Amino acid sequence: MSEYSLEMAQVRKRADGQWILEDASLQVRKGEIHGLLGDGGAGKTMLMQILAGLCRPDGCVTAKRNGQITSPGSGAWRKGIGWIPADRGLVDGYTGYENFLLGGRMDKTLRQRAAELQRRYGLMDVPLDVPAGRMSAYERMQVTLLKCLVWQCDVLLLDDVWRMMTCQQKEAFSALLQTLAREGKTILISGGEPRDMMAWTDRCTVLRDGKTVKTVSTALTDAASLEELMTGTDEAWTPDKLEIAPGSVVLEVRDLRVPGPDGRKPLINGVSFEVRAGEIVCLTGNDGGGQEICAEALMGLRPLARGRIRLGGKIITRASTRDRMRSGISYMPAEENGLLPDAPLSDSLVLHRYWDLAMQDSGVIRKRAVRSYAADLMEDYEIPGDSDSPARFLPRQDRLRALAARAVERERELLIAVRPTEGADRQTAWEIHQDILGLRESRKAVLVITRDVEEVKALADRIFVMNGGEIVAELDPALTTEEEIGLLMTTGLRQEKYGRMTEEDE
Amino acid sequence: MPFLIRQTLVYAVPLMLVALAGVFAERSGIINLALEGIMIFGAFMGVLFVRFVQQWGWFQAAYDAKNYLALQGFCTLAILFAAACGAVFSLLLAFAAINLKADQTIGGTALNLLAPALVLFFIRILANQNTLNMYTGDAASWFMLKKAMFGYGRTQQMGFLGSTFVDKVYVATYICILVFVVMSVVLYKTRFGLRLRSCGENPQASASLGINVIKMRYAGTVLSGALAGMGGFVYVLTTANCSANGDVAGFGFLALAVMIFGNWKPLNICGAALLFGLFKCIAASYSTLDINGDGVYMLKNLNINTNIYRMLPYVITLVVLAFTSKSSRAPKAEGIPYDPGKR
Amino acid sequence: MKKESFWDKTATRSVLASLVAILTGMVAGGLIILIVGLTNPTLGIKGAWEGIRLVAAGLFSTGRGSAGELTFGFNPTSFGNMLFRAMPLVMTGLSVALGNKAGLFNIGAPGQFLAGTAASLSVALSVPTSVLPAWLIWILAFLAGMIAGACWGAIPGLLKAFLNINEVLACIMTNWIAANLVTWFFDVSNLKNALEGTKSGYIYKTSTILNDVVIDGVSSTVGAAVPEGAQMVATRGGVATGKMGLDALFGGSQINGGILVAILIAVVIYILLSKTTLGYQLKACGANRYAARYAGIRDKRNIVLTMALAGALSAAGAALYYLSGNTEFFWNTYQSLPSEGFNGIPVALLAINNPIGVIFSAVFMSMLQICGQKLTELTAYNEYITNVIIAVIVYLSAFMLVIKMWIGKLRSGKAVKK
Repeated sequence: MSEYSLEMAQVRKRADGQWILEDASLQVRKGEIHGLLGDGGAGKTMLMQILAGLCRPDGCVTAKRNGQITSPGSGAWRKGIGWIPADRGLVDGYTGYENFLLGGRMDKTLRQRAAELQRRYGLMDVPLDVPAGRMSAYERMQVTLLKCLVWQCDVLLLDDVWRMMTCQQKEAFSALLQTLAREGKTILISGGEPRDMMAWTDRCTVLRDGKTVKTVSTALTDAASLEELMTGTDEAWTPDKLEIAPGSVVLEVRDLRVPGPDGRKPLINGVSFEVRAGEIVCLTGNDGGGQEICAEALMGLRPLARGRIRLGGKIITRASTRDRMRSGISYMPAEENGLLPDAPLSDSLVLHRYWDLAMQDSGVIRKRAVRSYAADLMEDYEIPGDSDSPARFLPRQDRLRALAARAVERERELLIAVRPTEGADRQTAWEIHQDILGLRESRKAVLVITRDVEEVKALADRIFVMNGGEIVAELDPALTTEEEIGLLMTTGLRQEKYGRMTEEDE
Repeated sequence: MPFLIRQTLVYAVPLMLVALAGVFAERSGIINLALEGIMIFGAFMGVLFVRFVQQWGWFQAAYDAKNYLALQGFCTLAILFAAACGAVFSLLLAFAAINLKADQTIGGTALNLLAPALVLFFIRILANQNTLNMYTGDAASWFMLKKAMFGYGRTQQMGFLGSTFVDKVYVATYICILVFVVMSVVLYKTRFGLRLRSCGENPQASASLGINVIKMRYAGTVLSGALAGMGGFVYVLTTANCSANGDVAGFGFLALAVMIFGNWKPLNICGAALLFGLFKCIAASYSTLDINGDGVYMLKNLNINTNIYRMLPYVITLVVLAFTSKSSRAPKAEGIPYDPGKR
Repeated sequence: MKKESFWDKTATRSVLASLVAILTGMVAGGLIILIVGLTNPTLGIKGAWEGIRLVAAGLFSTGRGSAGELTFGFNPTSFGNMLFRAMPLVMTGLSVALGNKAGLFNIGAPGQFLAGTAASLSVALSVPTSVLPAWLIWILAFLAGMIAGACWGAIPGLLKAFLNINEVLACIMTNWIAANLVTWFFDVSNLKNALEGTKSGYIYKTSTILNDVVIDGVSSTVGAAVPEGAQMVATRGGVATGKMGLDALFGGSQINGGILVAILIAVVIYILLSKTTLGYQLKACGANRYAARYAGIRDKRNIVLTMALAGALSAAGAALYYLSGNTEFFWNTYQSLPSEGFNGIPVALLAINNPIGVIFSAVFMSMLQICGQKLTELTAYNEYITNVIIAVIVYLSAFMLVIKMWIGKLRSGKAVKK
């Protein structure tokens, strides 16, 4: 029997007209915790899906499962592989237990097996009879893991799970993984942070631009080397943030409340903060924290039950979205809400100012003005491609940069950016951050809504953490840690009230 | 009153069956707008079956001998044949939607255009007119249950339950009710149903558990076609004297409305279908309705124009939808082609 | 910025895809004709071959020659009728295409068509010609039709925008409500054809002259001739679309200037969509409703506006058709919906929702209908085979778009790869 439970060499896969994987190789040993490290867009999730047998590669030289040559994606390959895609691995409408039932033959011992596994691995307080849609992200991930264990998977593929965990959760989770590894299970876990790999994995394979760069043992390397392997350069990609004394208040938000659906708990409640000229305020939280609802309310896209919004002294609480934009707000929505996929790129680029007198004349669009605007924007911000081709053909990194370019170019008094670098690789994220910091230097006000704690640390002058629709803390970036921010986002508390201990620790 | 209940059932039962057909497809993740077309096709094939079998004289002896059991068996065979044809026809939608990842709305519309065109083309060639009838006799004499079969004379009455549920009904209606109940149970209480529904909610998670999402979606669509084909044939059997004319007067679309109305749940669908059946029945026969048997034609005396009654089901749908649409819950992954490689 | 090669352009590939769909549809129809011919002794291969020729070139059929063989040549009546029938199809095609561009599936075109029929017919047949000249009544009737259609189309639009009711469902319901309302409306009106013996199920043609007279205290309506001793109360009707010389070109057909109006409207819609801010907003809503909202576009208003416009277009088609003066409307329509409404869907799909393309695909569809007619007239086949061909073409167009996108991604993927 081979020591490797999964082996694939020179995997190629194309999707959406682009080669996502070109030469990816991987060898995972039994009983080890193996990391798959890669920047945004490197191809980690695609490779994980191929390994999970969910889709077939366009080509690969070797594919072995437990030492036997097996066709990837076939039943023989998939047997015993458990796939845990962060928190998306469950059917929301079913309870945890019903999700288990999906996996195989119904038998009376299923509940007993599940209960026994819960005891064994210290997952006692994971709810099984609650619909998955009502669990937290971390609980959903745990239930997905439990589901794989119930069906006796010996290989566990975890895709991007660290992103939703606090430090304490990462520690507890790692202890669990190590127990599983000692029992002979194979664990492959993907992520984009070298420090996570160093802390929690035995060996790590680095993926860059769809190609495997190297596989290293984490005991023999450090985070900086991993970072260099991941990005291909030794650039630090730290944005230059100057010391700037903030000016007068540009955006004033008082006691915002957005009602919830069907009169349930309000989506945001009692939110108040200010953003001054020359400063970047970060509003951060997990899913359901309410920070994106805030952004929408500020843009006039959500009805307000209570509250007041002032921009540069002028009250805009009841103004239309268009009027708010005219009054000086530039809005950069999240990527999926920003572009028109099948329309020419120039249509998407001019989306936020087509009503400008420069672009139209009593209702008739000035085609030439639009095209030259698009061309100039693309040239200034180095976005490759043709402004006539549909936006969907642009690779994701360029789409993100186009969105940033469009929002930043006009240097309005206030920029509201929602998840500006989600899915971006190091370089693109750096470029977008530079653009945002440039606005700050020009003494504009910036409000960034994001889930990415690293981004918060890089950009923020002040941090507001939201949980459950309320601001639970205002932090000074110099005085707080990523752990504290993460904890506040997940639990709303600065410290864990109850320590989480497994039975083995006691 | 018995007449009212009987006629309501006649309209409501195929309606709820076809609505359930829509649920099967949508729960597995495929929007099935082609219910109308599949009904038309199933109706035609069922009538064709009856016609040819009569032409070949297989059941003629049974008819002459008043062997009612055999005739009901004949009817059941026709229903099964219509269901099978509906299933085959829906393969066109399944193939386009699942393998080719086509726009399911367009695919469904295409089938809705194809079915009446094909059916009318062949009806004209076979019968040289626009309607295809049975070869001999009519639906009532061949397939209907009558009190004479149970030994009642012409002037004897069967009592309330008897005259409502046994006299002058088609066993086909009861077969449909049975199929509706069985298939609802399959969808909601069996493991197969659990997996089918998971393919409509989170196909990737289902695939990772070894569920073959493609096979499941095919199953959902084919079952949908079978139920719609069955519903189509029973519809023309019970309301159009077993004749096919390439049209079911919007019944398939009404079933879609009932499905959305009933929030994709069988019990609600049943209620909605009964409501519609009741109103359709009233619209068709209100001037002769004697509700409590006292000789007073109440509705006729109200003197409301017929067309208002005919409009009622549609207006009511809109009104109720206006109040319930906010809490409607369509399956999450419906209409989105299953693409395993997508994030 | 590099220029795309001709073969890379989305537009080129779309047209190619449409042509492939058409060709495949014709082949499918031909196959069915062949199979039926082979299994039917009276038809045989010869009959099948005749059928196929008529389906492909029926527009040029001039009947049968002395020896019983099919003859072909320029048939002005067929041509004229083709353009005449294309007239409502262009309009309903525009209606569906406009909806599609804004992300809405307008399956309510039949109901809107009916609304236009009712409004335009009632105005044309009720406004007395002593008060206004006939051409003004024509315009009033046309506008009335459009307004009625706009109102009717706005209903599903409002339901979708404000109550989130699926527009397909709302359209289906409003279709049937319209059918019933129109039947009721005409049932209680005085527009039912009482002059021509067996035609009481139809409404008067708009070109009929109706004189309301009083004889011995009894009111009645008579045709063009006014009886002795009658007292004239009013004259109505006599409204018909001008021929504009087209009947000289295509003698013997029903054609009139309406087709020119339809083409004009198509051009207007094209300009609206591609060159105005309104068109830009509508397309943005269709491309990504959320992105449009987040850019400050009032998506709810746009949904209602689009459906109202689409309704007006469908209804205009009805108005053009029935104001021709030589068409009759069967008013007892509660059981069936006008096929011109549904046929707008394949017209729009085949034209890839391009307004100018709609003109061509409407003419094509109309041509197929003429071929079908010839088929029924001259052979034992019937005209429904052309509907089958149309259905196959629509089926193919459902995934032609996907394949086209594949090709597009393949080619641009090579170009953009870093």
